[in-house]
Amino acid sequence: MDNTKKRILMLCWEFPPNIVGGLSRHVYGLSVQLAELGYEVHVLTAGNATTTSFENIRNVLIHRIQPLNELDEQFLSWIGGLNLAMALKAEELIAENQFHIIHAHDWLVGAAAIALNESLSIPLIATIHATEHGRNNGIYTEMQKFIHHQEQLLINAANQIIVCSEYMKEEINTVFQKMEEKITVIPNGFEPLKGNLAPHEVLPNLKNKKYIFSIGRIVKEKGFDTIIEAAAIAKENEKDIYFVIAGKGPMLESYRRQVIGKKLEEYVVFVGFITDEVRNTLILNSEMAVIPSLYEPFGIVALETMNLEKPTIVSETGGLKGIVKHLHSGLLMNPGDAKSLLEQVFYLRQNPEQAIAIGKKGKQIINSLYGWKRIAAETSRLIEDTYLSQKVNEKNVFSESPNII
Amino acid sequence: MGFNYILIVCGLEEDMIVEKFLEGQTLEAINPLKGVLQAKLVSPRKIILFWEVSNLPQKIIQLFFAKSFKDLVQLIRIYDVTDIIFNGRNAHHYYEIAYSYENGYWSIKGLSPNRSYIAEIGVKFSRNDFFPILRSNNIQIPMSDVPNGEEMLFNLTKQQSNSHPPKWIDHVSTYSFYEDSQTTEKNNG
Repeated sequence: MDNTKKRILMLCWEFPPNIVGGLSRHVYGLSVQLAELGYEVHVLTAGNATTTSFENIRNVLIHRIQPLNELDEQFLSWIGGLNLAMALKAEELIAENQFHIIHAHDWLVGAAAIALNESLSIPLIATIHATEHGRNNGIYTEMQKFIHHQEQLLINAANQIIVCSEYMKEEINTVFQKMEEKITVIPNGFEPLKGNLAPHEVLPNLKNKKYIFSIGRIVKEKGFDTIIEAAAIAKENEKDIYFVIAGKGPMLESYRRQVIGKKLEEYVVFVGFITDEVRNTLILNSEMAVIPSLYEPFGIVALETMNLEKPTIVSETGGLKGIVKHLHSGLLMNPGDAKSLLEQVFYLRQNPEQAIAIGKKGKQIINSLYGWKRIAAETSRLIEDTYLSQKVNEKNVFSESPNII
Repeated sequence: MGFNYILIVCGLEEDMIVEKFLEGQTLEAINPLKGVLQAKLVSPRKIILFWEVSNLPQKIIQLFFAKSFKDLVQLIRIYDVTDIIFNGRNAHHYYEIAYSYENGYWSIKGLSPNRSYIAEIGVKFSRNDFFPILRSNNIQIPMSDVPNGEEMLFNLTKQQSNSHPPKWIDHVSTYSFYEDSQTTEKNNG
């Protein structure tokens, strides 16, 4: 397939070095792989005073944009400003070169994507990574209503929608009106982490200590309360257990205070943001990993721990239950159930040989299913199909109405 | 065409000055560029702003803010940024002038001598809620032989200097905005 002349306009509000969660890494991995397949990929993303406004990383052309209202106190106005700045930048790029596809990631860039799609008739693919309804288990506040509405607009306008799991497909069909015919499930890919320091270089008190690793954005839906509860039960029963939880987010300080309040410092620690190197080190040296999410459209962190052959316990929810087969490639726990979490931990401890086998199987499965090459090839097929159907539709419109030419 | 276009912009009384300004310049030099607000000095106290009209701003405002562009007050802000690295918030002061985005150009007179200005074209959502569309280059108004403080034609609005990052930054976590609740923190990273 000759993709050399196809240009993709990738819109995402975060992109490395700005990494908060899975979105930034995903768009980075996808862009690099699509560039390797021969596409000319332009990423439009938010910049700041410390980032360069233009950069070429592994043949991906990155345009970092700052909204004019960059100091806006209102988050939504700021996002509005970013969308406007993105759209105007895209218009400038499109004036120089023909673009064939717009690929938008989540509602945060929805307005820019829709405006460009409408004004310039470039087909739009939208990846919906998560929904506001799913994150909050419903829509309650004005802010949530606003975000939900933006998601709805993007879903309606997109020619094609990508979601990362069957679970997300179902969610979109339930929360929004049925969109079956234009939803494609393409899992997230993952890039193996590198780096291996000694664990006590990362955390001094980890020297010669067994620990269970967990990671994610520190928000309610990631279920870290369940770990705190499990730690409290372990303390009560005098069980030797230590959880290391990495990541940052709005709940971090609250969780840290709970740990102190419940005197659980010997059982659980929230280490905050960690670099990729530290993350790799902490996974490699852990006893096992646990991803206790209450809501998880995909669950890319499980892939990272499984890739390092760590037996991984995941919540039986969302994308996670599609990744892990219980007692085969990992273990499933009931979401929000601390006792269920501890049962899985002790099962692995009591069956060390099986724990090793589960770790190995997990690695094997994810490498065959979630390698970036495969994900990029599936995305490429969708790009080609979407572009082609737009062309066919245009042709049909013209042939049915000869007078408009 | 381009020449007439500029004459209309500046009004009859300024024709001679504008002609002088254009003398020796190619028409391309005053052509608007996509996504760029250009400010040029046309007389010692007068600047012209020009831009390429795009339908994207009104589409974004409609899609994101659910507001109709034509129902909003369209405003130019002229910021006095003398000796300042402008960040959108730290101007000495600014003037607000109603304009029409669809025009693609606007002229502004009465600026103070020996001061630097940056303009923004935008719309006003509410009394204190200005949403900028484009920001111009910095323009220096030349020194005057006889300083005249009364040249300021517009009301001065004092603006506090503010270069701190917005407070919402800690509440945003990749995909969403996390509002304060009993269990949500105010200050953390």
